[in-house]
Amino acid sequence: MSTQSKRIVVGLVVGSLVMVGYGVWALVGSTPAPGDLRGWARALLAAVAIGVVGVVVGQIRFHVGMNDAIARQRLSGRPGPGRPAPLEDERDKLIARRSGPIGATVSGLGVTGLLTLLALGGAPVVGLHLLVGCCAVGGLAEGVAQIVFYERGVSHG
Amino acid sequence: MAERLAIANHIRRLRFFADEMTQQELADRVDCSRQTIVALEAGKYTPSLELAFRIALAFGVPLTDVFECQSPGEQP
Repeated sequence: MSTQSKRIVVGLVVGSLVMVGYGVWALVGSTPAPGDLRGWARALLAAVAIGVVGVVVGQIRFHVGMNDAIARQRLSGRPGPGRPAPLEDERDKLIARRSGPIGATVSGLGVTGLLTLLALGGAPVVGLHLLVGCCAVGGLAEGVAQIVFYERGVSHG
Repeated sequence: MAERLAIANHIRRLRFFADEMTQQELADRVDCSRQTIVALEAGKYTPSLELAFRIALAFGVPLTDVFECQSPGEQP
């Protein structure tokens, strides 16, 4: 598995853990009343903030660990990558361009689902979770698509 | 719809004849990551025209000596 794929896996694992954590809290924790949209919005904002901080910390730890491994490999004289990969080149940009619409499509489904639910008279709190959930799943789907493109290959055109 | 053309490359062989140039050295010369060179050699990535020309320039050979277009159905 390439370094880029491992980096994406770190983000996926952290994102999934936050989603699962929020789900567990929403099911068994002391949650706001179903009609308290402000309370639910605050809870979702907190989950998003925890997710962002978690992903940033995960990426920092991953890059520190990777550079540490490269330094150890250099000192020991064993063959290896020799230096960390640059942040982004044309292949990374192409893969980001290809996988972006996948995340946007799933997020768009969330918006459509929210509007449909509200139009049909569903509970707003369910719609709120549908919207945020689809955005989160869209992000995960984009990450999975990137890993597939990195591992199976991608070409221009 | 036209069938997709298979594009093969001879980067590994050209690196060998360039005094066993490393993937990292080639990546530095053409300004891309080593992983992209790895993907190119494994046939998992078809580069942009610009990167293709940069690779040919790095080896000092014409583009057609690096990349080869195979008609559909032809074995590499």
